[in-house]
Amino acid sequence: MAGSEGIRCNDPPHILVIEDERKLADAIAEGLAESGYRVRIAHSGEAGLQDVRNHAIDVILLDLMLPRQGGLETLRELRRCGYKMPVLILTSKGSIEDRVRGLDAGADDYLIKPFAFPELLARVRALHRRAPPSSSSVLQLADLRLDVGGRITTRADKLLDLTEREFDLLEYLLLNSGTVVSREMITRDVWKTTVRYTSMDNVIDVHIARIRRKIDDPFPIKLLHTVRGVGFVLRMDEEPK
Amino acid sequence: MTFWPNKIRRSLTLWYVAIFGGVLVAYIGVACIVQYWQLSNQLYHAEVQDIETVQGLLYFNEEGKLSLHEEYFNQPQSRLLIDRMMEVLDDANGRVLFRNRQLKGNRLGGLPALNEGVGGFTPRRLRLADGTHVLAISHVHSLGGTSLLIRIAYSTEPLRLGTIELLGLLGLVLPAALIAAGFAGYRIAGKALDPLEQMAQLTEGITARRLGERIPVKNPDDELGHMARVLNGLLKRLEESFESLQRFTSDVAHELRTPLAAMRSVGEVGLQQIHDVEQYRDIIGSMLEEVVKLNSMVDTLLTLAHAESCAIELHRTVFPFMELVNESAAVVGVLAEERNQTVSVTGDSRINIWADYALLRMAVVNLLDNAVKYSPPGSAIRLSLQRGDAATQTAGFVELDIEDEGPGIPENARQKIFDRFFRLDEARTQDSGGAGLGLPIARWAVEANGGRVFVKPRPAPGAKFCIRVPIADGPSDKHA
Repeated sequence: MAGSEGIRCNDPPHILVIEDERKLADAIAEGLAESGYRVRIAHSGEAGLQDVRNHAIDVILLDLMLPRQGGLETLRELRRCGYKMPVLILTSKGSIEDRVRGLDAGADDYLIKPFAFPELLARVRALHRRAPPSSSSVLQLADLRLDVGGRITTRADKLLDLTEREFDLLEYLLLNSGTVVSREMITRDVWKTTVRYTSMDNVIDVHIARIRRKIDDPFPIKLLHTVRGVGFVLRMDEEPK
Repeated sequence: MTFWPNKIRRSLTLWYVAIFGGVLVAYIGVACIVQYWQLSNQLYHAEVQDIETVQGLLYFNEEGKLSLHEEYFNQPQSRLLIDRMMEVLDDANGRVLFRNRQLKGNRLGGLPALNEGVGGFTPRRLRLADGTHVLAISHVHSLGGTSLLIRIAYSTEPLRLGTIELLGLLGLVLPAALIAAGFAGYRIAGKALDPLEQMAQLTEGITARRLGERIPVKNPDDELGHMARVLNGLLKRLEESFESLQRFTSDVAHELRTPLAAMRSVGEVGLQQIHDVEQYRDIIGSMLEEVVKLNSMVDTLLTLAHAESCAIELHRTVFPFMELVNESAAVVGVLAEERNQTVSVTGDSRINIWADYALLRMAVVNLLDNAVKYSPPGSAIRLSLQRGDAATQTAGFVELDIEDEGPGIPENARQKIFDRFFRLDEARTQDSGGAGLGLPIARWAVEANGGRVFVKPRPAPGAKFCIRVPIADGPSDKHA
């Protein structure tokens, strides 16, 4: 039930990227398009508002540091005009006051530049669905089965012995199966801490290696893949497109 | 130099002149009053003497009229007495029996007052009808069966004039004295302030490039010497922080340059030849790894910068320290297992502390991670938690010791190891991937929670780090 096809509408969601840094805007647009979204780019707040009026936009990614009309102003005007679509703010300013100001102005979420692309994808997906990934009692990918309630893991009907942390990590990977998750996301969502550890990445790598030893090593088809420099992904096909 | 080079010198001079002038004016005033009072006193005594003389010179002539032996005036010592004003009344009925010419027909006090001149001399200050101020004395004298009230008076005008003359004389000197005082005061103030002026000029000349210079201290015990020492202390601290800033900047540049160089080389080499898709993925991934490194370094530096400007809010709760230690050991435990190391935790699990859980956990994890990284495979890492005691002046604190069997920390590095980018061994830490920021951020996290982190001296090989935080009094909050 999980997967990149998690978008249920027949029409792919329409995303507006308001970002004046062209290289970044293009990269985001390309990434989102590859993930199955329809994307528009606006290089200023004014152009962005114009796009909102002329197209049915589902989610907006908004840079705060825009020329002329700033991001916050754009956001306020958008909300004043009655548009209610979710807005994800992108900014390089990470201070708490900035965050509060952004959320006060009507933003739904906040992402600090530079961000990992899987993180952006996860946030956009969450915003569009407006609900966390449903925690179903049984998660499955190919012949890998995870019984969340009973905390039982099997592959090809063979019982696998996972530690608690390994189970949590595998559950998280399965919930996001088909998409890459970064180490930052794992740190936050599995280890439940926002404070960055110097050693956290090593700890995650060890856990991934152990999970791989248990769920992949004895079987011919590998499910857990490392995307170098980005993160990890659980998926069937070895060759991504 | 202008006439009023600075405000302190001007106001010092003004104060000096004002105080000096005030004292002088008061002195002149007192002198004049004393002078006038003394002269009046002399006049009074002269009048008393005069009355006694006059008593002997009064007589009733043949017609029964009261007269005065006028030949008395011929005596040279009495010449002043020509100014004498005199009136004699019949004490019984107040009738004027005698009034001399000097009175010019003015009355000298009118009817006798009660007990006037009885049994002594009654002094009175009067103003005559023609406006002359006089000092009068009265005395009752019996002559030929008649009780006579003799009144004698002298004008006080000469006294007044004399005093005014004195006042004028002294007043004439006053401006000259004030000018002299002002000049002297100005010079003295200037002399006192001169070293300050010099100090200011010297300090002005000390720029960022010459922070090593110091202000000469002439006399370390006086106020100016103290000032110079304070300024020198300030310069020293400034020099130190400037140096550390410079070192920090160059360290940062160096640290950022390493991943940048790797990215550049990998990218450039990757583009030299045509590769297959898998190789390109590898090249991009390798570059991304460096980006992630850069990213986390910048994040950490920003956190430290925020921490130093105290811009980070703490979320403190009360919880058992042991809980945090166990959780940290569990997090890092997998790394130790990979190296066949054992991590043991001992101590009192009931000690509560009041701290920001996540921050303190980061500090403990960083120290533990170091212990795992630097200890040989198969060695043991021991964590022990114990209360401080009064003997070591750590009562009210709880100490977490983290002992490993690694190479240890040389004594001269025990302080510096918590500095940013400090590395014990340049070559070795490179492949461990540390950027030299783990300990500084751990120190900040512990100190933000009111604690201290340091290296304990220990004889055997290996390092012993200690985190000391205050014990909380209250019961533990239930935290998430």
